[in-house]
Amino acid sequence: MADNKKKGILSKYSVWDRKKFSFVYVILIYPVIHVLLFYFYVHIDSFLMAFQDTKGDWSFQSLERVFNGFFKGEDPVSGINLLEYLWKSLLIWVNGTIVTDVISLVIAFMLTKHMVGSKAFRVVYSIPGLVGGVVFSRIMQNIYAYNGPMIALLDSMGVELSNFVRNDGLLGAQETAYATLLTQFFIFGITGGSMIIAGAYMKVPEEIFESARMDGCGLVRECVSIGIPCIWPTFSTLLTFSLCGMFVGGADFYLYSNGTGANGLVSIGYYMHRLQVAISQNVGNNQYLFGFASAFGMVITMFTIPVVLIGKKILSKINDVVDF
Amino acid sequence: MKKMKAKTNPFVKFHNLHLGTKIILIVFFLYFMLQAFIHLYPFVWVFNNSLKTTKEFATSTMAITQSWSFVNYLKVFSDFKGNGVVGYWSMFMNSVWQTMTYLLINLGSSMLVAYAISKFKFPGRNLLYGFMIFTQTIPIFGAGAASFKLQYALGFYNNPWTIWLGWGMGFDYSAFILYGTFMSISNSYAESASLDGANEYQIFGKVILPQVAPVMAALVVQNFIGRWNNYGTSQVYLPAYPNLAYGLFTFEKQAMYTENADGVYFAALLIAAIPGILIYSFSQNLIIKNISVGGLKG
Repeated sequence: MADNKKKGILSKYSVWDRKKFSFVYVILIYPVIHVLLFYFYVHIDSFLMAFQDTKGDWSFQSLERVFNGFFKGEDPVSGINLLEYLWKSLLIWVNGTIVTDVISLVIAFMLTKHMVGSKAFRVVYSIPGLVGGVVFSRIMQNIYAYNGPMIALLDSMGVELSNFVRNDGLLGAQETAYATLLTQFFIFGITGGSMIIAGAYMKVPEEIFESARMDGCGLVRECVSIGIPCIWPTFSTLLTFSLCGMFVGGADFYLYSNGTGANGLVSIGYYMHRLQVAISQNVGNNQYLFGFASAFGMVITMFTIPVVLIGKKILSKINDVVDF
Repeated sequence: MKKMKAKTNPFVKFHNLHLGTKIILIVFFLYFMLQAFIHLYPFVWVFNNSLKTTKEFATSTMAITQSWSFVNYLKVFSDFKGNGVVGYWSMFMNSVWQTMTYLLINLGSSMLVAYAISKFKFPGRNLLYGFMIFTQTIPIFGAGAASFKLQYALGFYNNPWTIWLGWGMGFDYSAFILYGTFMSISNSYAESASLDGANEYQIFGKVILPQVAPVMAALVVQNFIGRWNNYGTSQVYLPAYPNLAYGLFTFEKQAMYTENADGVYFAALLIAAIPGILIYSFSQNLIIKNISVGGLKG
């Protein structure tokens, strides 16, 4: 009888059960075909295109162009040094991850555990993410414009502004554009990161914190010794995902510069999107860009993967997972 | 005996705190209020200017509107032309069908993959699971050119009838979340249904699917917001069918030969922002309760 029961259980999920077998493969037909075509074929083709020239012959021409773009300022789209794009992307990542995500740990804790009106704050802080990059960037462009409130605020504070800023706004001047957006990313990044981490804090039972308070635990100790360890798996996962974008940050610069990269609003993320748009808008006349874009992505990938793997290893050793 | 839970007055609770804690809480409250002001002010400023005439806007962007031109919101649908050609209503409908199609195809695909991998042992199951983890942890860049080349060759470019075929990536973040959800559902439900004579399709549709409905709803909301605001797909693959996001990006205020062009433009921005804000406001708790980013060990 036990064997029959065991056989009954196994027969339900046995791979040899033809009905389940056919059901599983029917539901997987489309996803698997899709991934074979749009993932594997595309990535293999991309890899091969990186080693082809404009005529389709095997060549290191595209990789040479990437090298020249980084070290000789000869990229075929913008003609300037791609190292500037790279360090600006890195600066955005440092600003967004090292600085704002760490601060977000504390902000999210205070927001979810101790703040009156936290629900209302959470809705308000989520608004920039909800309206989307295009709407938000267009709104902020007008905020920073020559006739916008930011210039009025800076004037009222007695800040000296150059003629470029007075004529074209904060994003219209080389000396202020990048710094303005970096500051914006910092301010809005703190609350944006807090919203993600707040969800993790809300899942931690309140009893844990109450027990700590009854034992005389202060606010700081509550956050550092209890809150952060409890949500560490979520935070370390977020950091891991963040490492994936270490070299490709700043894609929003495409929006803020209207796709031109003017006034120093450039980054690797911006450049990759611009390449994609150039390919799309010049269909049929852009064969040289295919190889270059593929080679460029391959180089970025080669540097990103080791960083992600090493980072993941380090993060897993920093703190133990807390069970509650 | 009934347990009486005392309702704690937050002000009484605050009064009983240590002085240092009170100071910290006040400082943080002031910080949160300042951040709320910084987050809301741009939208208030845009709303105020969306009700202005061109003359009012040119005179001062900081003054409160005197004309209260709500007609600007109506002019959005008649005068606003994204890409210089497509009207606002057409772009709105493009956003609707592109978003809904994406949700159906992408989430549907993710759901099927997650269900198959979590509930069945079949040849290739471990490979598919490993691949799902791989796509979430290992980033690969630069495939955009090859992807465009393939989709162009397949005739997807500027073709709304076939473009959706390329949207069904089932091994993505949503599949990752749904995998965990399906794993938490006991196999007893499926067993009981099977004993009652249900086939696999019935078990999936009538027994398992209702149990993941909250998580699916949260993913629908999350993906809706992301897709609604996505301009890249329209820009690269469907330029002849611009959605709202792409249309707003390409719009040139100066090109709009209409009265109150600035006000109409700001009104267009706010109208495009409404769906995302509304949907999230009503489903905030749904998302927070049902979607969590867990840890990936190893």
